[in-house]
Amino acid sequence: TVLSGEADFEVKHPLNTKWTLWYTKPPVDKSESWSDLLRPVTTFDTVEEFWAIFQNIPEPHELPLKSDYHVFRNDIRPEWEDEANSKGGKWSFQLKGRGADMDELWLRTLLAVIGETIDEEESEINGVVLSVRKGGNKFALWTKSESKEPLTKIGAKFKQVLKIEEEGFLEFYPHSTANDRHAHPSIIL
Amino acid sequence: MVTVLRRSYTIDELFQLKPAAAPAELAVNFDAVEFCALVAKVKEIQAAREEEYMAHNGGR
Ligand SMILES: [Zn+2]
Ligand SMILES: [Zn+2]
Repeated sequence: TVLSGEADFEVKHPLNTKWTLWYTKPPVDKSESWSDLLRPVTTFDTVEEFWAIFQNIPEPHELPLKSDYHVFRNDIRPEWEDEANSKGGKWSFQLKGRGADMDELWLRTLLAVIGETIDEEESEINGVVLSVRKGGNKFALWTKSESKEPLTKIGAKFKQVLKIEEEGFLEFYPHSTANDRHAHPSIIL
Repeated sequence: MVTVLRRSYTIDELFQLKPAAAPAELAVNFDAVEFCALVAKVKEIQAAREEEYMAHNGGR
C-alpha cells in the first residue's frame, strides 16, 4: 500500500541511547524510606519524546525543596552504588544567586547531555542531576570514571553550557568520597 | 572494523526539533497529570508546615 499522507509517518529523531527520568520526592512523613522517594518516572529515546516529556513536567523553579530530577543513561540507577557509577564521580555546580537562570541552564544542560555534545566519542557521562535545596540549587554531571584528562575536557564544555567564564565554579568529586563530609574536590575548574 | 554511528545533536539543533504543539497535545508514555499533582501536593504540604512553624515560632 501507499502511504496516504505525511501525517501517517511521523519522523522521530533517535537519540544515541535510551534515558530514564527519575524523581526524588521530598519526604513528607517519617515512614518514607529512600526507596519510596526515588522513583523512575519515564523513559525516552528520541528527541520528540524528550520534548513531549519535558513540556509536561514541572520546571525546576516549580519543584518543592529537597526534590531531585535525575536523567540517567540506559538502566543506570542514579546512585553511586550502581556498578556503572562506582568508579566515577560528579562535576558539581551550585547556582548561587543565579536562581532566575535555573530553568534555562537546566534545559541547556539536559540538551548537551542527551544530544551527546558535552563529550566526544565514547561517552563518559552516565547522567545528570538537579537538586533543589534551600542553600542553593545544584546541578551534577555524573561520570563513568575519575580520570583527569577526559573529565577536564567535559568540565570545560559544561562551563560553556552553563555560560560561566570565571574560574572556580565547577568542582569534581569522586563517588569514593561520597561518604566523607569533609571531602575536597579532586578537580576545580 | 565496525563503525557505530554515534548520534549527536547540538543544543541549537535540538531547539529546532522542539514541537510547536501545546504541551497537552503531545503524547507522553506516563501519567503526567498524576506526576504534576504529586509534585503540587508535596509543595502544598511543605507550605502548610512552614506556615504552622511561623505561627508557633513567630518569625518575621
Ligand atoms: Zn521510544
Ligand atoms: Zn577540609
